[in-house]
Amino acid sequence: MLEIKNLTKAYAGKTALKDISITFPRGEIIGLFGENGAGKTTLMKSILGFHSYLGEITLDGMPVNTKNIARLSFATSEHSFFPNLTPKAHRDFYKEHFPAFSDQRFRGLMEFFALPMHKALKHFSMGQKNQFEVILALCQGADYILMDEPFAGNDVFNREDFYKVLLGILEPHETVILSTHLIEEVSDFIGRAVLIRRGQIIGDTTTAELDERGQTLMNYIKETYHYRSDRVSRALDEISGEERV
Amino acid sequence: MREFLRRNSPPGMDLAQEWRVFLIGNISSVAVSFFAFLDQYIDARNRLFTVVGEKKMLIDGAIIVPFHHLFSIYFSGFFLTMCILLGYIVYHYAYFRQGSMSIYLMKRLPRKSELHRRALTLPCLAVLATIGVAIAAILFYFIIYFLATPKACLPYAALRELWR
Repeated sequence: MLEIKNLTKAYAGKTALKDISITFPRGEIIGLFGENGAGKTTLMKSILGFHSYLGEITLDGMPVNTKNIARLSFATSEHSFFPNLTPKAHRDFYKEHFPAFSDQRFRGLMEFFALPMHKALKHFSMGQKNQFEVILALCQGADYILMDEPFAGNDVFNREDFYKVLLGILEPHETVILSTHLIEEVSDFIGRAVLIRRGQIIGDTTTAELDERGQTLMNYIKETYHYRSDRVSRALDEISGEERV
Repeated sequence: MREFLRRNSPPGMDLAQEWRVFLIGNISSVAVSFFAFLDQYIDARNRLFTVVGEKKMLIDGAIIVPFHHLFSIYFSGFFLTMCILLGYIVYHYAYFRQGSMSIYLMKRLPRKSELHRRALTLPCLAVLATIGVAIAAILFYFIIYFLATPKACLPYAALRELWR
C-alpha cells in the first residue's frame, strides 16, 4: 500500500499541497483529476521523491528510497526517456537498472503500437513518444505506475486502444494512478476518482459508488467543484453588456 | 574503451565535441608551451656565453636561470583547457533536461550514484589527463634543460652532482 500522511509542499511562498492524507492500495486504477495548478503533478513528484516535502510517504510501511524506488514507475507528458537512444537501447538500460523489467510485455506493446525498435526517440512523432513513455512505465515491473497526463497529443483512437490494452495486461497487484483532463474517456477505465483542488483533496469516490447513485463521473466532478453551469452566459453578459435569455 | 565511455557518459550523448576539445586543448597547450619554453631556454643558455673574437666562450662562473624561471604565462593553456573540460560537468547535468526530462528517470534509479557517475567521470578523467600531459611536458622540458645546459652552469649543486 502507498500511504500518504499530512503531505504539505510549498514553493516560494505558495502552498502547492496542503496536509494531504490518502492511501492507494494495490490493484486499483485511480484517476486523479483537478484543474491546472491543482497539485496533481506535485503530488506525483512528491511520491517519487523529486521534491522535498513535509509529512510522510510510505510504501508498505517503508519510506520511498533506493531499496524500493523500483516499485514505482512514472510516465509524464514531459517525457523521461533519452531522446538520442533507440527503444532497444532503452530496453537494455531498463533491464540493467530494473531487474523486474518485463521484456515480453515490452516486445508485445512495441509490436502492438508498431513502434520502430531501432530509431532514435528524437525522430518519433509526439504521439509515438507518448506511447513509448507509457510503454516504459508499464514494463518496468513496478507495482505503482504513475502517469501524469500521458496522452497529450495522442489521437482518440490511439487513446482508446491504449485503455483497452492496459486493462488487458495489468496484473492484479499493479496499481495505476492516472492524472488526466480526459474525464469522460477514462470514466469506464478507472475504478476510483480522486479530486484535487488548490492543493487539497476535495473528493474521493469509487466508480461503483457513482454507479449506485446513478451519477456520472463528470457530474460528480462538477458537483464537487460547485461548477456553475451559468458562468459562461454570465461572463458573456458582462463582456457584451446585453441580456441573454 | 567504447563500452567504458558509453557507460560513463550521459546515455546517448555525442562525445565527439568533448574529445575534440580535449585533443585541441592539450595539443595546442603543448605546442605553445614548448615553443615558449624553447625560446626562453635558448635565450637563457646564450647568456652563459660571450663572444671572444669569433669564438663563443663560456663565461666563467655563469649559472643558468633556475628551471622554474623559464615557466611563463604560456603554460596557462593547460589551465584554460582544464577549465573548459570542467565546464562539461555543467553540460552533462544539463543534458538530462534537454529534449526531454530524463532527469526524472535518473532520479528514480535504484543506483543513486548513476546520475553523478555519468555526469562527472569523463570531465574529471579529462582534467586528470590534462594534468598528466602538463606534467609530462614539464618533465620533457626539464630533461632538455638538464641535458643541454653545460654541467658547470646548472644552478643547483645537487644537479651538478647528478650530472657528474
